[in-house]
Amino acid sequence: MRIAAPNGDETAEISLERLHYGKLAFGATLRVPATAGYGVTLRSCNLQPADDRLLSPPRLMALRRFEPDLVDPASRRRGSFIARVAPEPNSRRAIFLRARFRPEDGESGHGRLYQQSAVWSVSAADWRQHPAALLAMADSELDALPDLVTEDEATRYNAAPARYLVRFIDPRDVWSALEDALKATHWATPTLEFLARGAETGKDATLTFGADDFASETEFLGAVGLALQFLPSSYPRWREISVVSGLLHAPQGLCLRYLPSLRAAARATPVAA
Amino acid sequence: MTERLSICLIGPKKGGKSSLLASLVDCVAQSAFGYSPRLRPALQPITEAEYFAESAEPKKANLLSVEQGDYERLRREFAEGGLATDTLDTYEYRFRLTVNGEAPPAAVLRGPWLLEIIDSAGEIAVPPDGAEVAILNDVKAKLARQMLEADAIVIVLPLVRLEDSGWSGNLARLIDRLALAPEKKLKRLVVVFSQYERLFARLGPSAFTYACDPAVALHALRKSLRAAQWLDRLRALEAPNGGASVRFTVCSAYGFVKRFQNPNIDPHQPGERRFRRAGLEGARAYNEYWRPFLTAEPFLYAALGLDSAFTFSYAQLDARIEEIA
Ligand SMILES: Nc1nc2c(ncn2[C@@H]2O[C@H](COP(=O)(O)OP(=O)(O)O)[C@@H](O)[C@H]2O)c(=O)[nH]1
Ligand SMILES: [Mg+2]
Repeated sequence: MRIAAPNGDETAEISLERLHYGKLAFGATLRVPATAGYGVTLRSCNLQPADDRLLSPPRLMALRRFEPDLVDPASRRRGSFIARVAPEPNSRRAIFLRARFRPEDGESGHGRLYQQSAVWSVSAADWRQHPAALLAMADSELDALPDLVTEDEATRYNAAPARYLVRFIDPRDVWSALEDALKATHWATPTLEFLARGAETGKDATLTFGADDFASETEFLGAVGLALQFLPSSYPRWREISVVSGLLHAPQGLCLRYLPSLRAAARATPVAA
Repeated sequence: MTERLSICLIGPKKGGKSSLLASLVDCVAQSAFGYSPRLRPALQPITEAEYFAESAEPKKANLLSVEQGDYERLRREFAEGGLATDTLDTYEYRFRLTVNGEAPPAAVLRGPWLLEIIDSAGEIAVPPDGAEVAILNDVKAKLARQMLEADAIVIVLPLVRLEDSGWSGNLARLIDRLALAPEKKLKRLVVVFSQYERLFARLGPSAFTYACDPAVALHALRKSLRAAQWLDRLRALEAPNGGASVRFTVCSAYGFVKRFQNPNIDPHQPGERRFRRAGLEGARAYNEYWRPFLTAEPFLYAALGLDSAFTFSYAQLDARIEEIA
């Protein structure tokens, strides 16, 4: 939906459905009580329990099973991240997932680990139109935090979708930011080439960046957001693009990935795998 | 002749299922079981393809040294403090079991046996009583099918604090359903009480000596069974009517410290960790001291139907009660 904002900017309202899988927790360090088991602990009201399977973390990551050794060591605290069009055929949603392993005995505990994740689901059309804004939002707001034992079920299973206003970005602004990046950074040229080659060849490929390319995940998501925002609406493989961070696995299709522990010495040039 | 056997691990969450499985291969390799050392069993993780392959030729490589594979990962996770098995699927681990020594005269053993051991989150089959746990329907259905198709079921229960368990109602119902299911393949069922070393926490270096006495285990089992009367429902599974043989045993994945013989829980580490050698990383840090205790028993009984000094039948558990009466 398009709304003319008072200042004349065009803005759109994006509606985000939310789903949490993990365990309930309590207290300042978010410990898991002995009684709490795994489950979907939050599901916003427009998602159906039947959707749980489609939104399960390994499925979204194209993995048989999500395991601790698949998380980049430098991403352990916040977890792995993926943004993509949902994997089911002809899906009309895009998903953003943050998933990690945290100790059951609290945030800096030493006990058994368990899996905690948070998913946003938006319309695929919104993802297509606002990749930069959505990646920025996911970067700042999407965390794999457990829900609280004290929150009652009615609220957790009937949560309203989150709504965000995003501003349409003028394509000229996107281009000028990208032009600057092409001159001043190392990521812009390989990224655009990667996307162009992907469109040409139709092959599966992954472009992996490391610590030498981006100092943080935030920078990476900002850069990829810009590159995706720049893609013309006619880009043929949009639905196959995934943006991945901190995960030692890449889904099929075209994967743009950031591994914060990766150093130049440890890999070849950042070209398609 | 090669025989394929499927074994389901069942029990409440945090009961020690994954740890039991993670320590199984080491337990066999260290002969840390109650079978005669002359039995010389050997257990090797294999891939799914090897499990289903027509011939079961032994592989030359020692898989424990291979960094790959689901089982290796499970061992590593156990070494790093454990990982709560998620409810998004059930997980199969496959092994090749051979018996290279002499079996007791009464047992006819050939082998090799290809074992498929199924681990799953406790929440799926034995959720906390009264809790509405959202489990994916297809995962529930998969585990139900795996239980019906299992040749053996191993029920893992925590030995300590068994009384205030909030899941016994659901486990009792599961046992009843299993007893009534006509299409099941179940031949053997083993109830194993985990974390046995905790019983000996105050005994220091004498701990291992006491733990090694089968009479102590028998006593502990009788006590546990009195505290968990609902386990009596398992009698319905027993042959001749139920068609299966039921055994009770104890085990400890943490075990007792090699040479020092005290329970392997290091009081100086945060959390509850095994003793480790300073300066080493990962599993290697633990191996200097780690000797699991009897974690092979449930699986070897499940696979071979062979009793050890630490597997007890209802007849053995009931015996003293008759003596007293
Ligand atoms: N003291 C002690 N703790 C154990 C032992 N085996 C497992 N644990 C702990 O018990 C907890 C649950 O174990 P786990 O194997 O994950 O249980 P599962 O949920 O049934 O698979 C973990 O924190 C383990 O570290 C044992 O032999 N002794
Ligand atoms: Mg487990």
